Amino acid sequence: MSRMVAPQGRAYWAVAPFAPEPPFRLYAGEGGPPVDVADARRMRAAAEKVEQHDFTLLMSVKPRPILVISTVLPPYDEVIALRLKRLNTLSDSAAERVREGTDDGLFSLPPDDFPGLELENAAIVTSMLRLPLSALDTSSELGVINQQALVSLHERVASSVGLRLDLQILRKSQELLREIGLRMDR
Amino acid sequence: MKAETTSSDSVRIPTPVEGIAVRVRRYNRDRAVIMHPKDFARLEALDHIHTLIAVPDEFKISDAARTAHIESITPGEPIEDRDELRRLFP
Repeated sequence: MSRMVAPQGRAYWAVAPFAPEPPFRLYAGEGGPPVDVADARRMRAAAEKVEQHDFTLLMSVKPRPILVISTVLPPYDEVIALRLKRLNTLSDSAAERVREGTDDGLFSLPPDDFPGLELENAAIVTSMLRLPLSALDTSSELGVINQQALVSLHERVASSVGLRLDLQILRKSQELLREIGLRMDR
Repeated sequence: MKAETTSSDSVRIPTPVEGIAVRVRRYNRDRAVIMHPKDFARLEALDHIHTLIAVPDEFKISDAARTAHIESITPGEPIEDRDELRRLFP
């Protein structure tokens, strides 16, 4: 199978996990029931008793369409992706706000650009997932957003989690200003 | 913005015209730039904007987006029946 190198902006089916929450269901070997651990404090207490403290957690997963918003991240070939929401499950007015781009939390994915999705969808801006590339079914692509839309979506995702990009913006601006200054000196 | 060039030997500050910057040159290098006060105010405003863009906009989450998020992170009833799993994954 050829290695997927450019999934950014594309939608695929993926095996997406739900974040583990207590009680933590630990796999206890074949034939036996899992061991339930009520909270994170008990997990920490157990970890302090043994040097090697990795466990196998039974957790819920769901095969679902996702939109990849990152490049493939080294060194483990992972991607950042967003879960999707079908617009037909929203009220008409809420769906219209999504299409107009006025709902910060839902990013419209036009059906023409996503022929592989049965219904019209939006990316849930706040639903970032980190997935290994192998958790994606890259044998069929569901659609792709254009670069301009991707940049806009990135801005919304950064805003949704309060990422401060001040220094990056200032550094880029300073580089540009320096470049302009150098051109003037020539 | 348009730019005009003048020699520093002959400079008597010309009356600045809005939208035209006058570059004062000596030995093939810009020594000064004369501009209309309104243009300078625009540059100052750009500088101010530059500091503003570094501050992220407030992210407002709608009820629809909040519900969509919660639904998307809430697992349903898992399929744990061995026979059903065997049927689904032959």
